[in-house]
Amino acid sequence: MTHVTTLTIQPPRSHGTLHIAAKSRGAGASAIADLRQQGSAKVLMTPARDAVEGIILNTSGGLTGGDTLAIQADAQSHARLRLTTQAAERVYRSPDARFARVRNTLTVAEGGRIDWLPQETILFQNGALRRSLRVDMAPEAHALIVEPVLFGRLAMGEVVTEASLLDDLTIRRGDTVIFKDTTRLTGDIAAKLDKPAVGGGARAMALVVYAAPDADRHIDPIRADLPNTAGVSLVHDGCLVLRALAPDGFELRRTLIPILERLSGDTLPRSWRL
Amino acid sequence: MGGPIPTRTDPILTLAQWLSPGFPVGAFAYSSGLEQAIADQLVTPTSLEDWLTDMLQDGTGYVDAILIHVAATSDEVQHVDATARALCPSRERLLEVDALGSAFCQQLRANWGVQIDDVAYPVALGVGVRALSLPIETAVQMYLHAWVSTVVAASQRLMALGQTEAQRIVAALAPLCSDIARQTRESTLDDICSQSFAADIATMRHETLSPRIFRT
Repeated sequence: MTHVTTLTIQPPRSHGTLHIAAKSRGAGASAIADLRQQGSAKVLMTPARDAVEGIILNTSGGLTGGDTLAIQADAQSHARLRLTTQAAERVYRSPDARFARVRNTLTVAEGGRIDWLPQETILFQNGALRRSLRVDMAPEAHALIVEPVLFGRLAMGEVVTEASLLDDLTIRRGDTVIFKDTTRLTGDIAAKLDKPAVGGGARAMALVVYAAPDADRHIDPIRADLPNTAGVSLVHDGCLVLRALAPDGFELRRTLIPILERLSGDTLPRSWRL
Repeated sequence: MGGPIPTRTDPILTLAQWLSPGFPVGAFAYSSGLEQAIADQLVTPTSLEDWLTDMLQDGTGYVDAILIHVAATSDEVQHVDATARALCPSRERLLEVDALGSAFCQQLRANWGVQIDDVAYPVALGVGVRALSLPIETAVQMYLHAWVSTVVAASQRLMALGQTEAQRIVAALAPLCSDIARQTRESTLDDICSQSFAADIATMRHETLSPRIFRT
């Protein structure tokens, strides 16, 4: 009797892991302490005087259902690490309703600093992304975090009426969770974003967090230049939170660039130019 | 915390007292960003109901409902409180949960003998509900309903919203308060989420609104 085994054929999925660590070389300079890259996650180093600076690439060209991407980035004691992405991260239609899964973890040791400056994530129609970003920082560390998200290929007139975005951010300083943000947008996201207290018709949004001992001194100048569709708050001492809504990615960048220039100390990577 | 505190009072009347506008937590001083949203003309008499619907379903209403449920059933009150504070999207939102919570805890200690350190407002209600063995889901819906009444009353002071229309809005949102209380019955802290971005931005912008009559 022949035994028949049923094979489930699934399209190939991409998986990527990246671990990068920066160490201090003294005199305000940093160097790579550890670098491991596997699968679709790669990093290109760019020369920078003050930090280890890298551009992350997802060589699979985008995310779809079943894909995984995990990045661990560490700034060791008194080291500075700055990361951006080569392009916007596209979240394509998921063929089987599975989520693309992204897990990012940042650690910042005493006196260290991480600037996490990815370009936009674009959620396409029928895209499904579950993403978490955890930041663990020492009490005297600095972290600048931005996560911009666009809904649909706006230039093509795409309206996202069916998609999922589950997005978590947790920032821990010492033993305390100082900030937590959890977004769940599912189904007809365009209709959701049209609601007045949700998005007021926006198709682009960003969350910026600057957790640092000197956060307090940036609040007034940033607030002075914000459009009405954005707000900034020193939620508590040493934790500045900014949220911005915009009609599209261009307007969002116009708002974000001067803020990120200021908070990064004029070291915003080139990919962030308009 | 010991067992339930013996009392002859009907649980509903205790909740009615705690969540009435006369209870000295000072809820009337907070507009949850409505003052700014009205100043920015994002909220008008005709759009107030939609705005509050969003805040209930996708903002503080949903978040607080879960926090009350969890605080009323968890032994880790400190962890729930820390989470409640970390979830605050702005300084004024943190001020609201902190100031209202402290005042509420003071009453729980003084008049109901509940052993409680100052915690965030929804967490304090959950702890009180547990200490007195009050019905949790009823507490959640009454809390949400009280919040709606408070911010609708605040809106009446900020724009041309008549008392009859104001009460129509409160009545219209009552079923949603009950729905959210029911939906969040089995929820955990991991289920908490918030998508009321524009409302959060309004609470941020309110920090520098001048002149203003509300604390948030």
